[in-house]
Amino acid sequence: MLFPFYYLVWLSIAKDGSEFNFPPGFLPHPTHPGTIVSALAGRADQSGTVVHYFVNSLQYAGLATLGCLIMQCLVGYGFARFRFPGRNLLFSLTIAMMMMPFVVTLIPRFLFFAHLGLTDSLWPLIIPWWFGGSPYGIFLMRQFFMSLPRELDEAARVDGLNHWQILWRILVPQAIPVLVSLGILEFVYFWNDLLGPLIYTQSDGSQPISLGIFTQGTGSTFTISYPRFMAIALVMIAPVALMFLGLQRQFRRGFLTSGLGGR
Amino acid sequence: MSVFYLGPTLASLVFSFTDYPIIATPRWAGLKNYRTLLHDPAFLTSLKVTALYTVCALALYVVAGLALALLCNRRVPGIGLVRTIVFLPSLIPVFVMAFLWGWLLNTDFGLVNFLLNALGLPSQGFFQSESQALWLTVVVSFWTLGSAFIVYLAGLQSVPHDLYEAVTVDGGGALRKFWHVTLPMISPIILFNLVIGMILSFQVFDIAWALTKGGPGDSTLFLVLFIWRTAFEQFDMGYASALAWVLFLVIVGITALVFRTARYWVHYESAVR
Repeated sequence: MLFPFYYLVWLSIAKDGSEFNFPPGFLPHPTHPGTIVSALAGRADQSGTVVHYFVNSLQYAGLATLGCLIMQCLVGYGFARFRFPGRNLLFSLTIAMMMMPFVVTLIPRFLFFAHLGLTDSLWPLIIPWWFGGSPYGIFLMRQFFMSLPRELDEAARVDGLNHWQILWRILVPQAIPVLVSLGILEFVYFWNDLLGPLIYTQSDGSQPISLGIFTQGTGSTFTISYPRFMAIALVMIAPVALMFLGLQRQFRRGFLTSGLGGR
Repeated sequence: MSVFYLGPTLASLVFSFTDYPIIATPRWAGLKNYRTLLHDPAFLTSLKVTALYTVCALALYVVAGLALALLCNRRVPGIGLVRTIVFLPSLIPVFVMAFLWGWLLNTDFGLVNFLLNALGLPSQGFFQSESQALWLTVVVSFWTLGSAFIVYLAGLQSVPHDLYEAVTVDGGGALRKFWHVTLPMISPIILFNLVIGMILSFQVFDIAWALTKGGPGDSTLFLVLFIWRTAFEQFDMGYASALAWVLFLVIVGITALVFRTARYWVHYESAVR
């Protein structure tokens, strides 16, 4: 399972050019941190540097995840606690969206944002998530809110809280493990997203790290520097891996309480 | 929601009936796009390639995911670490994994060919070989099964213990437990992973984009890659929309089929859901 991971680290600390050595190695050898250092050199306010890509990625994944989480709470609450005409139809449509390949909405969305003049930025990839979040997340949040007893709401209403306060002060704190799990999954998805940035960003200055690495990896065998590529890849994976390791307990609990495990 | 899902969905349905080179305004073309694709060899190839990939990658995702989860669902010291190790690789972006394997399996400099030669076997073409490339993309997809694994694991842990004890009392062994308790109890989760995995596999893109660009020949021309080319290299938005709709309908059709068979093999503990 871990071999590719090992090989990735091995390559990233190998000397640039040594990947062509014969015989090809994979055992520990004198490390050459110079590759990582040179790959990372550069300042955040300079476009095309790894640090700059990294900041772009943080902006994209952070804002998109935040939008998703907030909207999924709102929409999930709506589906779980309100009766309104057409609710079931609307919910079925939401579920149907899960099956929808992203390519179906891709082209009209692209044309829409091109008309708004927002291409060559990451905004077209962030804004949609602030209009409802992902269908999967909505589904999960609805299931979770439905599993909470209605008496909780009733008690809060007696105490004079309105719907808005009930949601954010009573229900959402209960949902923290679920939100953490969902947040991790969504953050990883946005962080690793390649196709989205490929469509919307053209210039170095607006690209996230996924695309930044990808450009490093295209070309013929001899023009790609694998150690350099893998060094940047390592920088890209590190925050996600650390986040997962740090929140592992919450993540597991979220999975068990979200109805995902218990269904 | 409706702004970014329903609107574009309907728009792409309309586009799929038009001639729409990106520079001009769309012109109504009726069923022309759909008639073209029935006779488009590239489309038929990509459909075949995508279907083959989906069947194999899905089998791996659903079966190997379950096998790993079963192995990790026991109380032994250090099991937490093992679970983490199994899950962690799925945090690596698929295209990085693809590049990594691309290098390991490089025809001239790769480690794998070196080892094959050392064993006295001939070098293989791997990603440069039309007959091998598709199967290797399936191999690369193995490292994405972490998400199935973790859902299985959560499911396995919620199987009530007294059911296992009941089998033990009746003198049943491990196999009986698996067949009569575990499998029925987690069948809804198998269904879940099957459907999610299928939806994902049909939309495979990153692996091919990073490694093969659809080649050699058209041996890894996945449908989404084909749609991408039609839309953003040939700028034929009408035809691309029609292709996207065909993919959508295929996914909906197969999902409906899976759900129809579900009543025969999926066991729900409570009738009320």
